[in-house]
Amino acid sequence: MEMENKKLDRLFREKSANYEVQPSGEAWGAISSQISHKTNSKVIYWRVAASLFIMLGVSWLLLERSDKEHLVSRLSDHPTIATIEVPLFSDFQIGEEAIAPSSESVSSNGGQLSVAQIEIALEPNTMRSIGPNLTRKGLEPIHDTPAIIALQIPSSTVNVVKIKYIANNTVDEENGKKGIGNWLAKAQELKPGQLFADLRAAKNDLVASKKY
Amino acid sequence: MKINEMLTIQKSPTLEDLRIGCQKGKPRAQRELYDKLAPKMLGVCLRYIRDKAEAEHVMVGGFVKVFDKIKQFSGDGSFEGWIRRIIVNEALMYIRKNQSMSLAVEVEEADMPLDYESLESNLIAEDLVELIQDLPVGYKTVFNLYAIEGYNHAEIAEKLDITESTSKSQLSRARKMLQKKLFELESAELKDFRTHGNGE
Repeated sequence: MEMENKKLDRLFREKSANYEVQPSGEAWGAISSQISHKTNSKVIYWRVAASLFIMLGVSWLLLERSDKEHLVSRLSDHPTIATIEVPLFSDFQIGEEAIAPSSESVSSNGGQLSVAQIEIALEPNTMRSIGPNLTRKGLEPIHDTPAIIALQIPSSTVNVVKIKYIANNTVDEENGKKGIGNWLAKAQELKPGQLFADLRAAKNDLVASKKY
Repeated sequence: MKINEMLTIQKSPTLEDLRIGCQKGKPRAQRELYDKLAPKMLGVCLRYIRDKAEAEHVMVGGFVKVFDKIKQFSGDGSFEGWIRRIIVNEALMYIRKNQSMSLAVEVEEADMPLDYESLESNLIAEDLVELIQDLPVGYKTVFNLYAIEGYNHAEIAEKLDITESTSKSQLSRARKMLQKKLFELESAELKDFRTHGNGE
């Protein structure tokens, strides 16, 4: 009897080991929708976490920059070069007295990135006067900073405008500090769309102060 | 060199490769693992649940659990065996929820000597699975777990929340019923053979 049972069990075990049935086409979809949903939610959590991290970083940078006294004293202690990269969609280029920028092409991963560059080498801030007829669209004129007045964008292919701002603030320390302070105050008024240019400017301000 | 490269590309990944890929959450490995094992696992489900749509539903739930828990697989023992146990447990859960375990069908005692060699060569997997599917739920479940999956009565009792002696009696009744059906099949085939032989 026991022998019979073993034979019977073995017959069923061995035969049914080869038993395969092809599932319907929908089965995988049902599985993957349930598992990819889980993966997606993980990705979303990461994205939210990353966004929060970036927002905290941006807030910190903005707060840090609003501590103008600190920045201004740091920048104005030495001759400084501040570079600001302005995206094309900003209003920076409008003005009556245009300065033609030099152009250069920079290779980036995505292909050619066209950059218009402008360099303004300056006397101490207060020594340069700006006429009352010079204005910048969207921004109040900064009277005591010899910053960018106008830019002509060479063509629609330009993606980024680099403005190199050079000021030797050592001659008149008080006014130099004031000038950069105003400049930073204006930078803070930039629209959200210009945020990255703004942040880059802040970063450049912090790192670019070097003697020459 | 080129031939070697081509061979490498065409070589299908082993279950072990797929396990590692799935543990890293790679969608392609998940799909390949499914393609490789789904027909077999649907076969397992169908031994417990006759209805194909229901069996497939159970298999889908089982695979979701497999991918969900795959990081918990330690690497000890057979990976396919691990997946199969998850699928079987899923099928048992379904049975407990949806089918009442009828435990009371009596089978008449009869001594039916079977010619296993001839049965083995004449019957295909589908025939035998069909015989299992025809059993009452309780018999079928215990027989599947004991004779095919290899669980012992203590394990079955725990899984199905029954006593060991119930598990034993269900198994013995299942076997008798299957023997009876095999005997009928055998006689029918013999009869077929004779009819067929006469016709020639």
